[in-house]
Amino acid sequence: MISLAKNGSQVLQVDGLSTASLVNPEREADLWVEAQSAALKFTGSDEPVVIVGVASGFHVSALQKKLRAAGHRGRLIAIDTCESSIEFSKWRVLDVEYVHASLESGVDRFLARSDVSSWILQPFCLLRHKSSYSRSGNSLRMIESWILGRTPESFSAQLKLRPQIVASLNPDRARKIAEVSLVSIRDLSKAWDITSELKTDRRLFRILEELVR
Amino acid sequence: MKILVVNLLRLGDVIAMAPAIKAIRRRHPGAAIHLMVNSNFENAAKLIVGVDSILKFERDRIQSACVEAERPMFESYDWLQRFVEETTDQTYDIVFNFTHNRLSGWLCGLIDAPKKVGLVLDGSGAVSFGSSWFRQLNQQVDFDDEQSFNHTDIFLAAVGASDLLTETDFFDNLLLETAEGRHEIRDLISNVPAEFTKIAFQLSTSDPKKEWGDLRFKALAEAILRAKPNAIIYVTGAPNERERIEKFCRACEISPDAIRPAILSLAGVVSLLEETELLITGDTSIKHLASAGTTRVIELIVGSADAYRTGGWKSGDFLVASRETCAPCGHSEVCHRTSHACATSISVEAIQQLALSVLNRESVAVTRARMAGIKPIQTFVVDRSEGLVQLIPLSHDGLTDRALALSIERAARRLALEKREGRLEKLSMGSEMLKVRRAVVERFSDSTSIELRHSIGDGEVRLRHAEGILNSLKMQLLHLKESFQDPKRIHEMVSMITAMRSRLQKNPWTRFVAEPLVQVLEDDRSAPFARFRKLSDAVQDLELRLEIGLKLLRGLETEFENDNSLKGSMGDRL
Repeated sequence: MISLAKNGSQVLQVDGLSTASLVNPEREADLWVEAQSAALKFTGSDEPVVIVGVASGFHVSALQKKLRAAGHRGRLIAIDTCESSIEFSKWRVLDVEYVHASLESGVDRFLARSDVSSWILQPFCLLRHKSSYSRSGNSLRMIESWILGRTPESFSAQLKLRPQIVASLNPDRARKIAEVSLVSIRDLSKAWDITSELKTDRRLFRILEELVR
Repeated sequence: MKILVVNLLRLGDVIAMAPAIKAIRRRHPGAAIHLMVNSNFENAAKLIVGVDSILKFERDRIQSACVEAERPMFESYDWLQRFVEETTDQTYDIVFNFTHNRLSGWLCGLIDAPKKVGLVLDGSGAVSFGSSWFRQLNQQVDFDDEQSFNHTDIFLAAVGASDLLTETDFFDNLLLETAEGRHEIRDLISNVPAEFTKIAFQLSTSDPKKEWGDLRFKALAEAILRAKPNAIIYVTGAPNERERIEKFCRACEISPDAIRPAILSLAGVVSLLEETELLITGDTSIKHLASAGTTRVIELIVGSADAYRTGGWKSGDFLVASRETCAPCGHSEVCHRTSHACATSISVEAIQQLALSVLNRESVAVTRARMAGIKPIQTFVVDRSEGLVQLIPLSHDGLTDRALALSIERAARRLALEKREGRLEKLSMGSEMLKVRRAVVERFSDSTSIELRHSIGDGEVRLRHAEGILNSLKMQLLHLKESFQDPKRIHEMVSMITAMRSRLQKNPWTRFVAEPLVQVLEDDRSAPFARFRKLSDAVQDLELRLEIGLKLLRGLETEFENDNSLKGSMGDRL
């Protein structure tokens, strides 16, 4: 269902709840974009920017404008579990890659999708549209955790995408990471196999270990 | 040809490498020089003459991605992997690592290049330096201050530029003055009459422990302006220091126009320092900008600031330090004193006198006389008559065997390092001798050549004695060659070396010679063959040091002898 905001903009309603401000959704979107500056600070000009939570797409549009003005040439990806949100936003904001995620697919299949695997293995900027989170129950939070790869389940799935790291880990020690609730570089540094010392990935992680020392 | 220079340290360290970049450019005029720095210091890197391209290492990003739970687990890894791949794809011919930490060592180990100079860690964590000068940088953490070289010089020597340092214009044009920088200072300098003297103050440092204090700076500003009414003091700072600087300028009880806040970017500071005659600062990156330019520097060595290793490096710069025994303290060490003694003991009067001396363009001898009664500080002037920085104390402690031995030890150490680099053959021993002579005369200007000759003669006797010890060590080594697998024989040899080392270390003339024996004694884990090899290397090193030390002493003795006979014959004629 679509409602009209006071300023005349069309706002999508899902399960009886409005997905954006019914007064001035554009202003609300601009405020959201302003709040993302810390998260965007390190983003390279060709790096993908991933938004979790599409809502009515006002914030996606506002972000796209800001990124273009700043000379960003990378991809803009918007993820949601709500299909109607995606469909509604699609006609409003062009040149955005939309990903309709489903919890039923599970983390492995989600990460294996071509529209996810094409950016998940490279540095990207993750932005959260928190007001979409509150409407989605737990589903967007779960999708976010899959993308972050810090829970034991999502960590294992992300690790599978990087077989060169798996091959360098000691299987017994790697299994122990699954007992950690929030995985970090420090946990991974304890899991390397002694035979992998000369491998590039182990040496890359040595650099990271120096940074968290 | 493509050359990568890596410097992942802080702002001052990036600027302090400007002479080394110039030297690389001189050695490889047609090469593309790329500079890798932490992304926050990209603007500083852009000011260095000779850099063609800058690679930004996003240290803050990957560090925060490692520790923040809201960032993707593999973000830092993915970024780093891509960065290493892209860097390797550049196919560099030489990589110079001017960063002395493990992070850069691992990183340079992963970048493919046929030649790497500086700290490199291979997969097993084994260290290589690619230059004896970088080994020196690693070792001098444990050395006495006077034995250490300035890091800027180590970088220069490591790129093979020792012979360029005595060129009078080598340290000119190290930094770019930009149109933006010029524009920033336009209003600051536009209405200042030409006859006015411009001075810069840099109050803040990266660590409160290194600060001299605003109250002392205020008293100094007032004292200088009373003595030099036609002077203007610019108080420099970054935009985030605006409040402090404006407050400081308002508090000075002198004509408000004479003390002006100069809130500038780095490019702006470079332009301002082109206009000023003097900068008075603590241990800051601004000091390095001034050392790379024409303005004279008075550096206040406070807290963990280290005059010998990272102090100002332009010939004629002054460094002022307290005589507190706890200084310099460690970087992360908390001051245990009830007062900030290393700052309070540097009096405003001392700095005012030094500043007036600089502004009046007085010679070092006149400055020395001016500063004679001021204690208990130590004031050094940077001297480059030998090429590398030597800190000459303004207050003479007199000629002692230790001081003279240390002075000649620096020259011998430099030549020994150059020999290991295979560059000694390119240097003329005659001109090296003259450089050392100049430095010794400068350092001990109050002593007569007879006194110096006497002391040098004593040094020669000591080194000859060490030569005897070395010969007996070589004989023992020859015998050991047939039975180095025998742990008992090795043990006997180590006991003998321990005794030799302690004898050699007792005397300042032979202490430097004994250094190579330390690594043999410290290593009690290697296999017998490896220990035997280390011992052979140490003996070779010891022999080289002795040879150079004796050559220098004999050469100097002849030089001073000629001085005396010249004076004698002139006396006869008169």
